[in-house]
Amino acid sequence: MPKREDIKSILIIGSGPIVIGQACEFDYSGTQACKALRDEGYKVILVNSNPATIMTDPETADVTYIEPLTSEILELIIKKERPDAVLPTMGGQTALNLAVELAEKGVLDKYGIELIGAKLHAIKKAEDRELFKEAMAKIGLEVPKSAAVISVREGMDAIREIGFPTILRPAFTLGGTGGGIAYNKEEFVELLDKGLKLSPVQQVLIEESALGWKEYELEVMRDKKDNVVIVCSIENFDPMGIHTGDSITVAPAQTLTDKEYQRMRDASIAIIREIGVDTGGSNIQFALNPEDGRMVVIEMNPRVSRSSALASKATGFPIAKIAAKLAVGLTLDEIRNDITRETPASFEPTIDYVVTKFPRFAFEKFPEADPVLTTQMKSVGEVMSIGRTFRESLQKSLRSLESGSYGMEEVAGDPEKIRTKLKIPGVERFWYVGQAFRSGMSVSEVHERTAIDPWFLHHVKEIVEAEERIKGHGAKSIEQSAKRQKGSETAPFAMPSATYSFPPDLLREAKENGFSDKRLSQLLQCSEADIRNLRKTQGIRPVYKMVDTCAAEFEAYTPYLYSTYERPFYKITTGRGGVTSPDVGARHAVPLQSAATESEANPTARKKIVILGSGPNRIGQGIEFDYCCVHAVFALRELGYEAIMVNCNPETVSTDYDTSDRLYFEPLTIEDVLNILDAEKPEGVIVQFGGQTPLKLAVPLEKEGIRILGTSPDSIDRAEDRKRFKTLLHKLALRQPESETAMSVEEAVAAAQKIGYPVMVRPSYVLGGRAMEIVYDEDSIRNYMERAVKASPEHPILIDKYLNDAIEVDVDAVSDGLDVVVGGVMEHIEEAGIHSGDSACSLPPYSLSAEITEEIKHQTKALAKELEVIGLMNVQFAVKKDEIYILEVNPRASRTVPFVSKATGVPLAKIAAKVMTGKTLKELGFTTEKTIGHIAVKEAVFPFDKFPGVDTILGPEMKSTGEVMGIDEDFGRAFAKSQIAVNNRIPLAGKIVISIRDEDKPGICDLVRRLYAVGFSVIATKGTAAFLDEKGLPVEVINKVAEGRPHIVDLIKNKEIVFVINTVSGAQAQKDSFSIRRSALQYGVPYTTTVAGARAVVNAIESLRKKTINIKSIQEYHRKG
Amino acid sequence: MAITKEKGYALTRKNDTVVFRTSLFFAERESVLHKGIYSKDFASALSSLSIAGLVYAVLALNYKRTIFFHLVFAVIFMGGYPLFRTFVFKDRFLEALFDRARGLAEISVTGLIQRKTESLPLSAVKNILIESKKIGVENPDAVEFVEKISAQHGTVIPGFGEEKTFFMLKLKLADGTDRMIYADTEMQDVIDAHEEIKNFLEAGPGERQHDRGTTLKNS
Repeated sequence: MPKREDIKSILIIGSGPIVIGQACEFDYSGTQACKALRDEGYKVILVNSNPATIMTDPETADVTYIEPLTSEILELIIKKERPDAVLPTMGGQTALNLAVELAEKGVLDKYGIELIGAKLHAIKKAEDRELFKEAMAKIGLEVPKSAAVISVREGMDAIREIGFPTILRPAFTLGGTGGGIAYNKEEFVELLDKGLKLSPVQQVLIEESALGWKEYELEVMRDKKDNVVIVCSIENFDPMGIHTGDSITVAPAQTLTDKEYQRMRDASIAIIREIGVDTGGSNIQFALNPEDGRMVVIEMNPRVSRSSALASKATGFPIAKIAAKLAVGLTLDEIRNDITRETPASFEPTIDYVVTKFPRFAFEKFPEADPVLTTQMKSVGEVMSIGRTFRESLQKSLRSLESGSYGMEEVAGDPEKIRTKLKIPGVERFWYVGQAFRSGMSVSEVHERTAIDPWFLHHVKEIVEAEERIKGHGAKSIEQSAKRQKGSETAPFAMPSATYSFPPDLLREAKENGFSDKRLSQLLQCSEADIRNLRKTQGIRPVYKMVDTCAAEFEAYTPYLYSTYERPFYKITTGRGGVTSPDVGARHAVPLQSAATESEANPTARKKIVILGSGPNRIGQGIEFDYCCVHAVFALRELGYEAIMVNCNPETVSTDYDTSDRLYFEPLTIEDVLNILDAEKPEGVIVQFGGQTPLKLAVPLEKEGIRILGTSPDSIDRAEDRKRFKTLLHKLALRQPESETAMSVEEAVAAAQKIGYPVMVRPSYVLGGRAMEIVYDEDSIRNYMERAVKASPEHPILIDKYLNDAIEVDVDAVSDGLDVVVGGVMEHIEEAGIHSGDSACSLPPYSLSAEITEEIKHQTKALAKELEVIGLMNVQFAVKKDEIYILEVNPRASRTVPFVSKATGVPLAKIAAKVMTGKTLKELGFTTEKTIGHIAVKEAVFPFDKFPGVDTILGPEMKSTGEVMGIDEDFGRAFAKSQIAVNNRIPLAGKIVISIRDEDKPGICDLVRRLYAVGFSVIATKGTAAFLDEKGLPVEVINKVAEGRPHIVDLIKNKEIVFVINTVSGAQAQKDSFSIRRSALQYGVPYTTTVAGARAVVNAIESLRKKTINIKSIQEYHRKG
Repeated sequence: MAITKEKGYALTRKNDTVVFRTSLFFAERESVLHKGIYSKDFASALSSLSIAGLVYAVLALNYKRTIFFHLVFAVIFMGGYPLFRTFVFKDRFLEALFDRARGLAEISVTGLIQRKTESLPLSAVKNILIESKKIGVENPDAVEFVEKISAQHGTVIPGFGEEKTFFMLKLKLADGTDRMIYADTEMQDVIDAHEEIKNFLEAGPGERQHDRGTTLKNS
């Protein structure tokens, strides 16, 4: 079937910012779709609000809009671009919901646009719980007993029929948002009420609980000729009751009998046909009762999903790319498999390895959040690992997480605690399963408490048993070594002698079981380097195998590799003379040489560079760093280098097999990276682009003799080491907020008094603003120190002067060691003290004077030259009363690089990568900063809606998961767009409530005046109202929550308020006003927790009342400059 | 060069030339799935059977069936088998010629259609030596497991899990590369071939040796 000729241009809708439940897998899908459709000759128009994506690069689509994802904006784009079709299946639930909205509003009909990939009826049938239930009944498949309700009253009727426990699933929400398990009436009403509010169609499915059942997913694709392929089966390690995004999952399914698998396969094919997804991929979830084999269909996503990204990476089958081609009429048998270049896409992938996905959580950022895992997704990222066995794959995934775990470490707990931790699933449950076996529990006991399939538990138990054997041998080795050395002068003995008698077979077995060198060193109480050396001397090295989609049935052409210590069936031993038999004689005999093993890596002789990726997404290290890594790959390929990518995050573009020349899907640990470098022998390694993950490997790699490209690790250390940095600033005569270090409460109090309150305090060993606080008085610092010293008595506490009311400024620059060019100067909207990742910012600055901006650029250049930066550098400044202070210098890629690049059109990361290979900025033609005539505003996106009980107030600890960009001709409209994109719609009329702290009161008067001027009414809490009244600005007064009814929360709930301005200081005030912020979030009332944020909102209101929002593609913005 | 079943190679020496010929020049395990089933003999028999069957079917469809048809079938099958074996599914040979008079070494490999020859100056051949390659069982548990599964399916995989040692005769060239000209599991044959070629290469230009030939083992 030929591709469709009646379509010339296609609109692809992206998924917006990274949020829990919708991460960068849709950047990967969207980018693949853009490439596939352009290859087929279609004009691609793309819209997405997330600048930190490869899909929004101006080269990815023909026309790119970085605009808020709302039906109104989409209509403007449709009106301007007149696409022939819309492809809504690449942008997750966001895109699908928008497509439905556009269709229902009649926009698609009005402009004669066709929905391709999934038709409206198919979307509705799959997404609407009642329609889906009917469809399943029609084809004879069971779904859990359920009822879709639209009110609490209907819910109460339904629960009588269904019974407890029950699962609640709000319709049309992503990542299970608003869903949960209710065990009693009270929980049920609370969850139902919340779910009804969160569902865009105010519908919640109340479902029979299948808790403890086994959970599976099948990735299915169908074409117009009704060919259907099952791309991959995925099994959840954790049973039903935990969102699949929060579950450990394994591909292919491990514990299904062939009969069960065939039933599931047949059911999937019947479902995709019945729902009517005629061109594309779908994800279908099943639950299987282990008691009686009863199978029920849980849900179906008629689009590419997080699981399809995982399935693509697990099998090498590019689901999104193929789905895009199917959408334009091609059929599976007409699409070639890029990896084999021989088989068509109708050839189902086969895999001869095991893939494990492990979720990454960020509860440390939200200590108040409930850490119990339920049907609502809470993880912020994931890792994937590949091994030849489940044990190898599982243990590789543990060390990929970068959560400080290198295997199944011991966790503290008495038997009672272990039993509780097994029963109530939490982040650490996996480790408690291991601890349960250590404490003597049997597989059946653990299964009884966790409902995890015994097959998986047996493997975990075997790992624990292997650990015990290793520990035993280690102790024996040490004793033997001790005896051997008794009387000698070389006591106490070191590890090399201790491991001298460690059996090679056991070490080999440990590596085959996936044990990391680090974990072995923990078990044997030696250093990781000792284990590495021992392993090497025993010739135990990994081999690399290819992900080839066909289990080696056909030759693979794409070097997408993973490591394994699997012993091959055969060992090949080469030698001269072959044997030392006397028959051969001296004339022929030469001793045997060492054994060689099979590896499919086949490194080339080309000049090559390895780029270390950023690992799992987490708060503080997100997709922005993957963007930089991908750009580095592009740059190196342009220069003729072989670009080798190492990463373990299945959601990203960097782990797409056709992004780099060679891809190693491996953990980013020193062990795994060194193994790859041993095999590849590159010219150098780039560690600058992947955030902290590769950066912390820079020094260990350099010690191993690896060449680090770009800024030297010593320069990085100069910028990070507090003392060295202070000396550097002193040399350059630059200012820094006064700072001290304290080890005890008394030292801290004295230091704070010396510096003067308020001060910023933080432990010295953390990154990303962890445990950072602003303290205003002695009591607070005593309280902080008691907690911090108790938590970590050995680490000093850093105390910095907090610059109250200072403006924070971020600068990104590129340097080649000779010249420095500033990429962009960004003025934060929130004042200094809010983590830069959580703060909105404007490029160019919207309130700084030209002199200050120039001075900031001058200081940036001086710092880059002094640090001998080669590549990217980010500097954070604070400006207070026209004085410039340097807060931080990071000689590496920052999270603002993609934003600056999208705003200015200058691919900073690409330029930096080229500079790191030895090119100069002059050679690259980038010698002056690009000035722009428009304004771009970056705004952060927070996961507060996923964590009930968490305060939305911002502080020095980063909490955002993603970002959006608003771009327009003036600041007000650009800011307004950024707010619309984060669903914080700016009101144009109505009543605004203000409740602010004393320090902020003087700054609010002007805002109130301006609000009155544009017709708003203002209501304030007593203190704020009194202050405003005093200033001649009378306002209505409302009670705080503790002051009686009606109070501020009542107004929010009654939708009488259109905007909330709430700032607080001090723990008690924060506690008192918590319900204001929380209810604003819950009831969808826009809010700000800073006066600076309020000021920006007022600017936006004034702007929006004068002018309407424009849409313009970034190609147009870049052309105009 | 006469072919007998004594050795894995044939070697002919005449004045200033030595011609070494063998069909054993791969030091790899044969596919365990193909070994003993999809051999060249089997392929030749299958091909000639197909042709004979086709002719039989054409005749049977167009003429009244007689004993003649069976005779034609038998003749085509019996005649076809050696023809296929000789011309289509033929053994591949490697031939190494060392010509002192012309100062030339030539290594030729016969293919299905064409013959590939590499010519080198004799002076480029710096040495001839024997190397070995042992393919041993590395993972006996895995071998045992596969054998168990295949037994459950009622089959055995011929040669699976067996150890094999190849002795390889290699020419070391001046540029540091080497060319394997013989790979046999019979160590003595490789030693003999090595002895004979090495003697020839080491002998001075005027030295004459008796003409001598070795026979080729059926392989």
